[in-house]
Amino acid sequence: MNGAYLSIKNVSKSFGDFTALSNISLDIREGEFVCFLGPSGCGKTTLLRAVAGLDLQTEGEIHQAGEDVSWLTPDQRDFGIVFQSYALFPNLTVAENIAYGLKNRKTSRSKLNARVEELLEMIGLPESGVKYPSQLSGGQQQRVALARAIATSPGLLLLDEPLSALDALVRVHLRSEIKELQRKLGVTTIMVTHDQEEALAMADKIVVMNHGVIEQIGTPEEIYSRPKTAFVASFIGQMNFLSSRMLDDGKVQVGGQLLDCEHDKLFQPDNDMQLAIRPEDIRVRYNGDATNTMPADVRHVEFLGSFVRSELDVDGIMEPVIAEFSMNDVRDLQIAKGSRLMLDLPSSRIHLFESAR
Amino acid sequence: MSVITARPVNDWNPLSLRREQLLQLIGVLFGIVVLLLTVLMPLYAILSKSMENSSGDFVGLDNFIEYAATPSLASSVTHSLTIASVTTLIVVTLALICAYALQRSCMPFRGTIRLLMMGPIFAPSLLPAISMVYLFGNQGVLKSWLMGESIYGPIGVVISLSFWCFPAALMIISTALSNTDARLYESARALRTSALRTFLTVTLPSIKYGLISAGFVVFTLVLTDFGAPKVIGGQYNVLATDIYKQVIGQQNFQMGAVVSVILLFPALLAFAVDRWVQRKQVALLTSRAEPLRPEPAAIRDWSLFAVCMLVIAVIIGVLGMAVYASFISFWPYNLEFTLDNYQFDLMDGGGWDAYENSLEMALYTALFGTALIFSHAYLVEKLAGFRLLRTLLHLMAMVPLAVPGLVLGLAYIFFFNSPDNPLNFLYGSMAILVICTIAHYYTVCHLTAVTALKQIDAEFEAVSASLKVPFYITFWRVTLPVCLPALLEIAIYLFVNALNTVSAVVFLYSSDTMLASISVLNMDDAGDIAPAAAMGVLLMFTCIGVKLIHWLLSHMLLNRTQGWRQSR
Amino acid sequence: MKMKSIIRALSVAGAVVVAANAQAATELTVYTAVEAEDLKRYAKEFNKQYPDIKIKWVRDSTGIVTAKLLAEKANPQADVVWGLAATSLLVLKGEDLLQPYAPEGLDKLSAKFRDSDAVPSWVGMDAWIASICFNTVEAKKHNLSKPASWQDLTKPEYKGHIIMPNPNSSGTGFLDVSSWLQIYGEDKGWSFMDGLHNNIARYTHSGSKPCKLAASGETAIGVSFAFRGAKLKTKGAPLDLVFPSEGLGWDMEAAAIIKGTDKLDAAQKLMDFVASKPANTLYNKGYAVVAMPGIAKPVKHFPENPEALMIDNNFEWAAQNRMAILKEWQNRYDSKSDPK
Repeated sequence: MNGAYLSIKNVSKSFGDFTALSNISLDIREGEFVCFLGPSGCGKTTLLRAVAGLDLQTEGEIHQAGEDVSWLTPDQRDFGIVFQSYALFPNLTVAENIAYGLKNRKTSRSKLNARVEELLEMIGLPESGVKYPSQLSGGQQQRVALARAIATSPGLLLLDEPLSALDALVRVHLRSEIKELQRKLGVTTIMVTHDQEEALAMADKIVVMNHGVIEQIGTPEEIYSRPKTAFVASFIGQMNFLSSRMLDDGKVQVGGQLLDCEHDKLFQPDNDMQLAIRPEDIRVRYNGDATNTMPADVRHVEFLGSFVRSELDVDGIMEPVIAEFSMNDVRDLQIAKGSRLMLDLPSSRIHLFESAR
Repeated sequence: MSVITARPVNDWNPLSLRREQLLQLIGVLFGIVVLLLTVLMPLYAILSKSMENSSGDFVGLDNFIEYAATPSLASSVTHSLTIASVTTLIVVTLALICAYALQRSCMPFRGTIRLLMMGPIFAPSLLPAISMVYLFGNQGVLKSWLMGESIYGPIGVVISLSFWCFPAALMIISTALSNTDARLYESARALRTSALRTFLTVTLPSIKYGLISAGFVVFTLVLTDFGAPKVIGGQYNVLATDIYKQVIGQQNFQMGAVVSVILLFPALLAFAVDRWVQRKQVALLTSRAEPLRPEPAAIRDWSLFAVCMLVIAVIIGVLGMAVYASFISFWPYNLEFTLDNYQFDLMDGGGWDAYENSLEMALYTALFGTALIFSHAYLVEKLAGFRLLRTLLHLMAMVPLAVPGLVLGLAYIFFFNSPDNPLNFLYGSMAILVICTIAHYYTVCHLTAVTALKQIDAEFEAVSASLKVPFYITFWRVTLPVCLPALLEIAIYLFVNALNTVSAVVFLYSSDTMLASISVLNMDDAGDIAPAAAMGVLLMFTCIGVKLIHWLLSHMLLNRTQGWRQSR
Repeated sequence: MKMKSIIRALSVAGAVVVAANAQAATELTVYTAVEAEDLKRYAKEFNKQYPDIKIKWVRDSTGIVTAKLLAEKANPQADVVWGLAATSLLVLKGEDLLQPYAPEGLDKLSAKFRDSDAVPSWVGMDAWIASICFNTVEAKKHNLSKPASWQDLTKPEYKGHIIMPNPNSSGTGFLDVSSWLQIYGEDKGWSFMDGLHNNIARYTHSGSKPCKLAASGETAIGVSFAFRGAKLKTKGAPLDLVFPSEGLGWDMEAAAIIKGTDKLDAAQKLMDFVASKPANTLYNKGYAVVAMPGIAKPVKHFPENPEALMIDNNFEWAAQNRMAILKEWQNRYDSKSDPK
């Protein structure tokens, strides 16, 4: 055993000809908050449901707390679950919903009531026990669903897009509450989401998935600043992709310019590839430390409050390049539509990927 | 905090959970066996009977060839198709106008008009046919309107069945019209499209599937109805009456089976089209639509109002005539008012016992049918495992829609009265009537239940599994209460149909289990038309009364137990 | 809830196999086509002699009772048939469904009213004779003269005013057709029916309906049977009963034991009663001709001496040719959609 609380080993799942999950392996430590992130149809929900036992995998094993749970039914496993649709029982009160799983465990009535009170307090709805779900707002309903899921103190909490049905403001508010609660309880948690911002803000570890495979596993910081694949780079945050060419001397040719790049991957010389850089990593202000410079014209400027996003025409490059400049840069360098700029692409901030197939 | 951080106590027993799965498996298998015994095996029996001679030897298609060679029988096919087509055309056109008036106009009293237009649904198809005798028969009050034509024949059948099928078509087309997106009309108006062009390019396409569906529903109802042609059809033979004549009149069971098999084909076709349409329609409804709020337009509203008044006048006229005639002592020679026609015990038709039997039968059908059909639909819709078996159960549940009642009834004789069948003891009992009626109306109820189940959150079962609550507890505590309105609807549908059905049970009743609807038929058959009308009227008022009770009950029940339904 | 309902509830639930013989007394299941209002009198009179035997009536029209018996051939439900057309019983006899038995006093019955076998398979009860129901009010309205013979019915003036039962479904209809074939012979019989067919407004499923339709003015002339006509006339319908001069077709109501009954003793007792004098007196209430000679008193609205008008009906011939006759009839007349 490798000390992981949840261990997914070579899990595959197919529906007829369609492969939903292909050879997924993943370890999750006890108390960790993990996000499965990816576009719709990438297999993240399928993986979550396999962990829950709701849709069994075709192949592979799942171990939880040292026990092989691969082929157990959901009710034989140990988890609580929250769905995007809340799935609250509409004909039961909030308190009855929360007590639903406790009732079956022969808990004494007074203990049960105390537990429900405690949970209502915890989710900030102490007075709402007698209400019906339809009398609550979406955010409140999702809190109740959460309380119901953790009422029985499961070892694993599964959250299936829990915030997707909510308004933007409620969503931001609730996500910090969920994170806070999770930290307090120390419960191992898996959340499925397609919202990168949510994943970056909440997760200890993000699992980026696409087309049924894991693209990258890492902390939010790793995923953002060191994307392993072009997909991860494009899915999380904004990224400029420029077609480029690897030369014999290790320099990269973009348009008419030759650039230095730091990279740990081995690329065959004389190969087409993609050079990627985030808009905020493009510099225009430097003190003689510029190495990778490219001249560009400002084609368009979009004011976004604390910064501007500008669309640039770089000499020798067909695609427009997006760069973000602070308001200080804009004022000091008088950046406006039509300005001529000298860009610096710091070699440490450049990512290189295989050319798109 | 101590409570929260405590690790879960694993006091659930893995063995009991496997038992839970076993329970589900038994449930699904039970459903499959039930439908196998009550639908598929009887159908097989009738199919094999149609290929046997009278001593039970296999003769292949000989019976069918003989059928085709008998001109009087073969002409029934043409007759059946003719009246079905004509009636469908009339009913769909009228229902379209009336539904349009109800959904898209601002004419007054729309609620009341809709209610009155539903009237025919509460009576057996025999009642409008009997009414035709009094209205247009040789002593009919409006005989001159027919300009010398006889009501006994296609005219009478078409009028009676148009009347009887109207509510079904109205409901389907109304629903289709209510589902249209208002924004399409706003766009059309912004583009200055003429009213006619808007109707042709926006309204018609959006209700296309509703119209097709209504058309096939009516077509099948007409094709398989037996009551109206029996009473008013005269010498105009149709497939449904042929089955009856072959079996009851000539004791020619093989030929009855042959006609049944022939009747299955158009019904199957209608069934296939209806399924196709339903699938298309679901796709159409998924888009978000703005509800349309019609604006007043005097000429349109009042002319539609006039048409609706005409339709209602006909409905009230036909039903009223039957009610009136049931209180007349000797039409047309003695128009004194009397209650004698309601003294059913003095007539050859089963008497008041028949009425009691009918109530009993309808009650059991509603009770057991609802329980059975709903729990099967639950298993189909909400279980996680046994995908193949569940699909099989669902497919089997769709079969009865394609089987006319008369065919099912005859199939039951062949299947249940075979001495080799261990279920033989059911033959002639009340139970077989209940079983047959449930099987006959199974599909519509199944679909209602499935729709209701689909509307509740798909994850309830997953949530309760994660909370280690057995599925049957969630079924009892959550699914059933949430689906209560649908359950009541299914029960009332079964009750009304069980009360009015003739075709499915006409071969199956025994003297102990004579039914009121059959006694209407038999009394009319014996020429006791006024008592037949009286019994039909009694059935109609019973259905209306039960519907009223249902309405009150569901209101009370909803207020009491379903407080959660009101939104914030 | 009543006990009956409880038992039914249980059987519906599939919990209980219908418990048939809960009572101490023997219960006979008796199939019959006799009018509902007469059954109570029959059972009451029978129980005066045999109080231990309870009759459970299963009543329906002739066609349906016959169909039922044939359908249940493999697994008979009835013990006795009491009051079904002899032509139907002949069909059942042909299917070997009847248990021969010579009831007490068999020799007192007229020879016509029993199966000709030494131990008869069935015994007759009463005769049921054809007649024409003629609505005098409607006739005046349409200026129709009163017919006196079958042949009269083919006159053009009656076109569209005659209703008769369909022989395929009605016993009365069949006795009409078979009697015409016997009166006129096959060829002339069919040509008579061709003529009649031209005047027929429609054929009904049941035998009594034409007379009821005549009584209510739906038609002027209904070809039916005397018993029904007499009853309607008593009720005040503006009817005249016409007994055509060529002779009247007739059938009898008869009784028989169903083969395989496990209550043979009780069934035989019932057959003894069926052929007895009290029973024949009962039949005479509605029927002018009964099986036991010398019992019958004239019945109101019936002719004085009905037996003289009845043709010498050859039941064996009718039963043997039944299928062929019906087929021929169907080919000739049933396909015409709207005969006028």
